[in-house]
Amino acid sequence: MAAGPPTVFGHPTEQLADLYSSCPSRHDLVTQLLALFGQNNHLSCPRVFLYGPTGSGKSHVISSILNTLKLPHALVNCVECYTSRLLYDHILNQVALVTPAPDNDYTNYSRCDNMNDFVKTLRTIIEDRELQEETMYIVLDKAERLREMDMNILPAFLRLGELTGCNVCVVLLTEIVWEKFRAGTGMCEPLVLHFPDYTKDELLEILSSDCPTGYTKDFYMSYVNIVLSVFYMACRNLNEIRHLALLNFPKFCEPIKKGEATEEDVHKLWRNIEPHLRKALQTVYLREVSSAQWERMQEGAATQESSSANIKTLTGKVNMELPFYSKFLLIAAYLASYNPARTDRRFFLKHAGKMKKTVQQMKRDERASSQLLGPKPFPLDRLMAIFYSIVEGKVAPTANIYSQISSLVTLRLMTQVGSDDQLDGAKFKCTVGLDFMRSIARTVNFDIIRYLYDFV
Amino acid sequence: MSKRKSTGSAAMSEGACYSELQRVLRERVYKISAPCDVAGENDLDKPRRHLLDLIQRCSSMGESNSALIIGPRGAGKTMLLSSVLAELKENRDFRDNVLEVHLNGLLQTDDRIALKEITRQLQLENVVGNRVFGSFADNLAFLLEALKKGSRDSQAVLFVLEEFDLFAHHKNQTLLYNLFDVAQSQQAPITVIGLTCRLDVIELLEKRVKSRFSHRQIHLFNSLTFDQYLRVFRSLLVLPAEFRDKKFCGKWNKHVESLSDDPGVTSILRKLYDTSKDIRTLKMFLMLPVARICPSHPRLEMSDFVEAHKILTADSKSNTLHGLSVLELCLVVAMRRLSDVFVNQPFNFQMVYNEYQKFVQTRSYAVQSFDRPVVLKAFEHLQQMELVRAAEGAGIGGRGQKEFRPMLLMIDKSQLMQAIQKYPACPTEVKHWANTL
Amino acid sequence: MSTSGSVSKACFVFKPKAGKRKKKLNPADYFVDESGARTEATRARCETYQILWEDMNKDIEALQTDIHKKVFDDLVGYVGSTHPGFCLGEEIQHKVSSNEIPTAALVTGVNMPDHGMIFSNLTSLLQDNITPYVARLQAKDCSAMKNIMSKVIMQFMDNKELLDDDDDEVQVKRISPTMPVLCGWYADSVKRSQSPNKSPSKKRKTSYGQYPPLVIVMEDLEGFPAQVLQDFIIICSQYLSRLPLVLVFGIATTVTAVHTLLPHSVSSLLCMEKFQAQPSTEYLSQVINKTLLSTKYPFKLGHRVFQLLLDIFLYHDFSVVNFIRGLQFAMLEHFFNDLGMLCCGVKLRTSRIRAMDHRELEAIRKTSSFRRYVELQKPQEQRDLLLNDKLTKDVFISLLKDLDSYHTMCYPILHCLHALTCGLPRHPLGKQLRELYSLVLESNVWETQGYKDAFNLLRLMARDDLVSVLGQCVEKLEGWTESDVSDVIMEVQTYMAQLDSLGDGSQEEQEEPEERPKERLSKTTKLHDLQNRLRESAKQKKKLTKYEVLRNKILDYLDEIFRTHLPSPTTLPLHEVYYYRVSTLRRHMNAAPRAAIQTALSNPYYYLQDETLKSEDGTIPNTAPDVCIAYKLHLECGRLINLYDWLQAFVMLVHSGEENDGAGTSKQNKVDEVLQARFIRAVSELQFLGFIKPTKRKTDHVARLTWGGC
Repeated sequence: MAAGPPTVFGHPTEQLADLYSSCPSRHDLVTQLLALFGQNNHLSCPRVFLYGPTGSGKSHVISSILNTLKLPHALVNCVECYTSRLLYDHILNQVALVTPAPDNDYTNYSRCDNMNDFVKTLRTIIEDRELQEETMYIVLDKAERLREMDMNILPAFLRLGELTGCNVCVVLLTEIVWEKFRAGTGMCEPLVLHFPDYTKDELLEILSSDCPTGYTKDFYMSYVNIVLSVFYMACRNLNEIRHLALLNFPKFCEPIKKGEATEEDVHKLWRNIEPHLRKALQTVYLREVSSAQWERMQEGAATQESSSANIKTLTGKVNMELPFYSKFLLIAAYLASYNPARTDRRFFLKHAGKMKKTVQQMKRDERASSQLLGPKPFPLDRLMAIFYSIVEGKVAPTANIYSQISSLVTLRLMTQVGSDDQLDGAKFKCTVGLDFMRSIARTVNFDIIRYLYDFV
Repeated sequence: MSKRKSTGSAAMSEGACYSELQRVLRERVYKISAPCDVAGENDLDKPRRHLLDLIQRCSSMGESNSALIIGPRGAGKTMLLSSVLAELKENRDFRDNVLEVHLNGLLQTDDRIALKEITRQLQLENVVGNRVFGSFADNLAFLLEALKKGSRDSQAVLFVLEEFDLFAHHKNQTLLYNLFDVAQSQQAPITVIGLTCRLDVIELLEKRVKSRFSHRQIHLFNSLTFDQYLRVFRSLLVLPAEFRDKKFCGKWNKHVESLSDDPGVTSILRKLYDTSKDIRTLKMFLMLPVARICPSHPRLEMSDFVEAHKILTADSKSNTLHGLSVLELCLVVAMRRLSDVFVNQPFNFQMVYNEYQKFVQTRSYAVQSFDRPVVLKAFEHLQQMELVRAAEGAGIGGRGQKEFRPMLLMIDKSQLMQAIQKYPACPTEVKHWANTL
Repeated sequence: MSTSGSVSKACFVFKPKAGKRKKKLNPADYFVDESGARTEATRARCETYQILWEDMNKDIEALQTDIHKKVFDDLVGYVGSTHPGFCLGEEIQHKVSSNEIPTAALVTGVNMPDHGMIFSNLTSLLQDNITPYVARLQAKDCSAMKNIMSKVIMQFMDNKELLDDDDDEVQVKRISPTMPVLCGWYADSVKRSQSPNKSPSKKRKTSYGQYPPLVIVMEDLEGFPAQVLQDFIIICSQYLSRLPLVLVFGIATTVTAVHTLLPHSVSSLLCMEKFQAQPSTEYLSQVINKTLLSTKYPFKLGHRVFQLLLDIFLYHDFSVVNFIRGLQFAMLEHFFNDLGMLCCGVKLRTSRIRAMDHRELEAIRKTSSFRRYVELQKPQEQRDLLLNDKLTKDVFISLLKDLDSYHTMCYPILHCLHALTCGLPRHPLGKQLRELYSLVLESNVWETQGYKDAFNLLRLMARDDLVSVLGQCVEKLEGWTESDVSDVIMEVQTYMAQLDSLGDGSQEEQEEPEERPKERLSKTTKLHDLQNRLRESAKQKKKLTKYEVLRNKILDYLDEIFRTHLPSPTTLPLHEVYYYRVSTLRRHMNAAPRAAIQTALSNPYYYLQDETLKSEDGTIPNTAPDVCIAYKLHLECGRLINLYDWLQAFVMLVHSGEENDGAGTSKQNKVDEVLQARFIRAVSELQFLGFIKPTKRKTDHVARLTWGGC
C-alpha cells in the first residue's frame, strides 16, 4: 500500500515531497488522507473523523497538508467558539478570505446566527469564489466541544456536503472516540481514522529533528535515547518529552563544555545526566520550570540534595505565610470539614472521655475515612466554635476575624458551598491537603493529628 | 454537482482515464444519497409506484396529500424520493406545474426560519416585502395565495421535510399543523412528504396535528439479500457504458466482475453484510479502496479491502488505551479494581491514588513511583479522554476539589485486558496486577 | 454570625483603594475645638497635619515602589526577553516550542489589600519600559469566556486609541471580541508604529521594540473559574504565532494553585517562570524605619497604639496598607487635640509657643508628664512654672529641644542595641527591630528581664563573636552623622582595636572562657554538680583573663550608653506632644460590629446616654426603643418564636409603665393598631439586623438565628 507516484493526486511532486518531510513517521496516514481527498476537482470524502492522543500530530498533519498543497480551507478550533455564532463567523471569514482589520473596521464577512443562514452563506461564498469545482475543506479541531452546542450543529456539519450541495469535506479532530459523539438524530457516520501514539523509534526520529546547532545529529540522537529510556515509561506525550529533552540538554553537554568528556564517551555523559533526569521524572507533567530557570537551578545546585530542594521550592510546597488568626481559622476549618460533627464534643470539651473505636467502627472508617471521601461542608457557627476552642487567649469576634474568613475563601483555601440564603445557610469547606495543613499547624505548634478523627 | 469538465477526446491518456474513473466512482461512493440503481429490487418498487402517483396526482389534478417515508438510516429514503422526482421531472408540464420546497430539520431549527426559507425557495421575498402577518397561518396562506396569482390556475407545491421528527420538536408544531391543515382542507394543492428514521414518529405529533395527517406511511427496510448486496457492490464499481475510453472501461468492468467472484472479497463482504445490510456501510467500506486506485495501483487489491475492513471494525477504546502511558495504564487498572470492590460505586482520585500507592509499594523495585501532583495530572488526562467521567450529581467546575470528585470508569474488564495484551513493552508487574482482577 | 458574609465582604471590597479615599474627604472639616468651632488654632493644627502627612505619604510611596524593585526588574526583564524571534508575516514558519505561552508566576503574599498597589506599579513599570499593551484581569469580572475575551480586547484596543490619538474612533462596543480581531488590530498598530510619520506625542513609543508583547495580567489567579481559564489559555496558545502574548499570574498562595486550576493538557501550554515578591513583613519594617524611627517626623506612636497596629498586622491581615491607614488615623486623632499644635518643626513650634495664650498653656501644664516634671523642681521654681507664663514658655521650648535631641540619639542607639542582641539565642530582646522598639516605648528597656538576659548572654560571648557583633553595631551606627553618634563609633572602634591587639597573648587563657559558657549551659543536671560548678565559677571570678576584663569593660560602656540614650519616652516631660497614646484607636481600627449592635440593643443607654434608659439588673424600661424591647424579649425565646406571644409580651411591656390606669388589662384582648405597627417595625428591624428570619417550619413563627452574646 505504498503511496504510488503522488502526481496522480494531482499535486506537484515537490510539494508532496516537503509535505512528507514535514510530517515524519506519519506517511501512511498522510497517504490515506491524500487518497481520500483526491484531486481537488474530485469529490472528496465528505466527512472524516480523526482521533488520537494529544501530540500525535493530528492538527499538524492536516494543517500542513492544507497549507503546503494550498487547498481552500477553513481551520477552526472549537474551543474558541463558545457560541455557535462565533463558530459560523470564524468559518465564513476564513472561507471568504476575510480577516477583521481596521479598514473593514473589524467586521465579519456577514452576520449569520443560525445553521440555515450559515449553509446559505457558505454556498454563496463558494459560488462567488468559483470553487464549485474544487473541494472546500472545513477542519474542526477539538471537535468534542461541538457536542455542547445546539444539538443540530454536529449532525448538520456531518452532512454539510449534502446540505450545501457543494463539494465540502468536513474533518473533525479530537482526542475522544467517535462512539461518544453519537447522540440525537440525523447523525451520519464519518470515516473514522485513528492517529496512534508514536512508537519509541518514531519519537526518536522526530526528536532528533530538533537537534541544536553545534552538535552532531548522532550525538543528539544518543542523548534523546537516554532521555527516552528514562521517560518513555512515564509519559509518551511528544510535546512533554520534547520539552524535557530540550530542558536537560545543556546539562548533558556540561562535561563537554568543561572539557572533561568528549562526545564519544557516552558512558560518562550518561552517568552525569542520569540523576538529573531521574529528578526531572518526579516533576514530569508539571511545567513549573522554564528552561532558563531550570538551568539556573542546575547551576545553583552543586549537590543533588540542594537541587532537589530547589525543585521542591518550585513545586510550592514551601510553607505559605498566613496571619496568626488565619492559621487558626484554617485549622478550625480543616477540623470542621474532616471530623464528623458528633465527635466535636470529645475533641474540644475538657475532660471528655478518651475516644475508643470498636473493631467494626474501624472497619467502617476504613471504607469511609474522610481522608478518602474528602471534606464535608460545615456551617459558620461550628467553625467559630472550634476556632475559639483551639485558639489561645480571648479573641473578640471583630470585623477583622470575619473578613479573614472571606479572604480565606477568596484564596480558595476554603470554599463556600452553595447556599441560597445568606443569613444562616452559609456553609464552607476546607480545600487544603493534610500535609499542607500540618506544616501550617506546626508553625503555631498545634498538633493537628491529635484532633483528627481518622487518626484516633 | 454532477456536471464536471470533460477531459480530452475519446482515447484518453492513462492518467486521465483513472482521474475520470475516480470522478465517476467517487460520485457514487462518497455521496450517501447518490442514486445507485438497485435494479430488480422488487421490494422497493411498490413504495416507489405509490409515491410516484401520489405526487403525480397532486401535480396533474391538484389534489393535496401528505405522506411519511419511514425507514432506518441508509434504507434509501432520500434516494427513493430523488429518483422518483427525477423520473417525474422528465415530463415537462410537471416541471412547470410543481414547485418544490425542501426543508431539513437540521437547518430550519424553528418555524420562523422555516417560513423564511419557504418564502425564499418559492421566490416570493419581493412579493412579501416587509409585510407583517398576524399569525403563521396567515403568512403561509398568503404565500400560497401569491402562487395562485400569476400562473393560470393554482400551482402545486411539493414540500419535502427531511429529518421530519425534528420538526415535531418545534414550538406547538406550528409548521406541521399548518401544512397538514392546508393539505387536508384542500385550500391549495400541496403535497407534504416527510422523511424520517424514527418509527415512532407519529407519537411525536400533537393530537390536532395527527388528526390532520393523512396516515399514509411508506416503510422502507434494509432487507437486501446477500446476492442483492453483491449486486449493489458491483453496480457501485462498474463503469457506465457511456464511459469515453471504451477499452479501459471494458478492462475495468471485467476486473470488477472478477472481484465480485473472488472468494476472499466475498467473504469480507459477507462479514460486512452480517454486521449491517446498510448500503452506507458498504459505501464507507469502499471509500478507501476506491480512493487508492491510480495508475501505479490500477486494480482493487485484496489488501485494500482487508485494510478498509480493519479500519471500519477497529475497536476505538482499545486504540485509545494503547496511547496511554504506563502510569496512566496503572491508574486505569487501579480504578478497575476499585469499581470491582465497591460494585460500580463512584470513586474519587484519592482512593485511586491510595490503590496505586499500595501497588507501587509492593512492586517498588520494578515500577517507578510518582508524586501525587504528577499522578493527579495523569488522572486528569484520563478524564479529558473521557475514559473516566464524573458521576452524576458531582459538582462540575473548579469549586469542589477535584481530588474528591466522585468518578466512574468507562472501560470494562475485557477491553482493559485486551489493551494490556496489545500494549507495547508493558511491564510484567502491571500485567500481573491486572490479571489479579 | 450571618452578618459575617456581608461585613467581611464590605471590609474586603474597600480595602485596596482606601489609602486614596482618605485623602478625598477634607480633614479640615474634622478639626474643631471642644466648642465645635473652627478657630485659628484648629486651622493651624489641620495644616500641620496635612503637611506632615503629605511628606510621610510621599516617602511611603517611594518606599513601596523600590521595595519590590528587585523582583519587578527581574519580571520586566523576563517579559522583555520573551518572544525574541517574533515577527509577523510568515505564519507557518515558527519553531516547535512556540505554542508555549511565556508566563510569569508572581507569588504575592496573602495580603490581598496591598495587591492592587503592587499590580498598578507593575503595570506602569511595564508600560514605561517594555510595552504599551497591558491588560489587567480580575477574577470577579471573568466569570465566563465572553467576559474575559471582551475585557482583554477592550483594554488592548482602548489602549491603542489613547496611545496615538488619531481621528479614527474604533467603537470597540460593536466589535465582536475574538482573537482574529485582536490579530488584525495588532498587525495594524505595529504597522503604524513603524510608519515614519510619527506625531511628537508618541515619543515614548519609540523606546519599545518593533513588536511590543501583549501582556495579560491576572491579578488573583485563585479566583478564576477553572474552565474559563483553561479555555482562555488554549485560545491564547493558538495565536502565539501572530500575537506575542505574555501572561502574568498573580498568585497569592503557592504555585500549586496553578495545578489545582489547570489539567496537564493546558499547563503544558505554559512555560512558567516564578517570581517571589517581597514578603509584606519586610515592607512593614521598612515603613516603620522610614516613618516612626526617624527624626524627620515629630509625630510618634505610643506603645499601646503601636502594639495595636502591629497586632492587627500580624494577627489579622499582613496588609501594610491597613497599617499605614491606622498610622494616618492615629495622626489625625493626635492633631485633633491641642497638643498636636506643637507637633511640628522647631522654628514653627517655638513661634507657636511664643504666641500661646494663657488658656492653651494651662492645657499643656495639665499634662501628666509635665506635672511630674514640676514636682521634681524646687518649690520656688514650681510656683513660677505654674504661674509665670513667660518662664513656662521658655521651659517648654527647652524641654521640647531635649526631646528632639533624645530622638536624634535614641534611634541610632536603638539600632545598635538591636544589632547587638538580635543574634542571641532565644532572642531575649526580640528578633525584629519593631519588637525592641515597642519594648522601649513601653518602659525603660534596661529594667526589662529580656535586657538582663541579653547582657548575661553577651557577657559569656566568645571573642570573635563579640568582635563581629560590635562590627555590626558600628555598621548600623555609621548610618548616622550626628556628632554624638560618631563619638560612640569611635569609642566602640577603639575597643575593637584593643580586642584585636590582645591577640595571641591571651590565646590560651581565653580558651577556657570560651568553653566555660558551653559547660555552664550544658550540665545543669545534678545538685552537687551545680554546687561545685558554682565554686568553680567563684574561683573563676578571681582571676579574669585579659579578654574577659576587656569584654566586661566594653559591655559596661555599652550598657551605660543604652541607659543614657534609651529611656522610655513616657518618662520624659512633655512627650505627650509627640506621642499619640490614646487607645480608643482599638475601637476604630478593630471594630466589633456584632458586639456593638448587641450592646446597643441590650443596653441602649450606652449609646443614647439618656437618663430615662438607665436600667439596673438588665430589666427593660418601657421607654426604651421598640427594637430594644423586642430584642430583649426574643432573647428569652427558643429556636422558634411565636409571633403572637411575642406581640403580647411586647404590648405588656410597653404598657407596664401606665399599668396603674388599668389601660393594659382592657387592651389585652385587642391590641391597638399603633402598637401592632410599632411591633411589626421592630420585628422587621431585627430581621434586617439578622437576628431572626422567617421560617416555613411553623406558621406565625420566626426562627431565631443567634445564640449567646459575644
